[in-house]
Amino acid sequence: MPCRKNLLSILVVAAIAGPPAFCRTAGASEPTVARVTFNGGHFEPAKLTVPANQPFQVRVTNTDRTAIEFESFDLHRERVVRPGETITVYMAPAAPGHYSFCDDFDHSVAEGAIEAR
Amino acid sequence: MAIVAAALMAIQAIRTPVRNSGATGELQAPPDVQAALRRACYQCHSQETNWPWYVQFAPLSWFVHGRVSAARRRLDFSAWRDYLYDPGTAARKLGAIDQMMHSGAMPPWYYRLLSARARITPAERAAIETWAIEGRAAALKAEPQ
Repeated sequence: MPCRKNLLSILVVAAIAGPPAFCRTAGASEPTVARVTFNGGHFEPAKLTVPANQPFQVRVTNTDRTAIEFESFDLHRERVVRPGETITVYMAPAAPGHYSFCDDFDHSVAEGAIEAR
Repeated sequence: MAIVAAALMAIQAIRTPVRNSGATGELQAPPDVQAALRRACYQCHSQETNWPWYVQFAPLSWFVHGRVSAARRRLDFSAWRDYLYDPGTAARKLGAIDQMMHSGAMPPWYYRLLSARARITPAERAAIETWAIEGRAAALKAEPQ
């Protein structure tokens, strides 16, 4: 009996707490958010993976000392990110594939990529 | 002379892959603005480029295809609906259009020289500027925080 009680409390706690944060996935109405930080002259991570054929967002944080222009010619996006700023770039559903992005203010910066799959 | 002719023949083998692809959405603008943009800008800044016969031949094809490709990367009116999906991007594109119209940097001088279609009247320029300024303000307001 005490064992059954313990099991019940575990189930109740699990139901209230929901899935752990590290395995939380976006719901049907909640778009996937991919995060990228620009620091020290490069994008980190350099590759983002998003679900194909679904809208998604890219949250770009610039922790560098100069402004960058987050640009994806492939996905038709162009946004300025000032030092210390975080912006959200809204993306339309993308077909499976590889889409590059760069800092259009400085072409010596290594390109990043978004992989939709 | 024979060497030049042979060289010209040989370079025709180097093809440029720039073509027209599908549009993702029509530009929403007042008729006068739309007409002026279509006439003077769409030739390079859209997927509706009308490729004249002479741009099929190198080395002119390299130059023209290169310019059109670069222009589309900067601004592609055929991708307008795509820009609007991200209000920040739409605001940036509209800001650039306003700037280009205001400074007179666009259409480029050599294109204005070659084609009467590329010449924009002051009234058209003013109408495009007004549309771009108002559109940018609306896009900035629309941006979700």
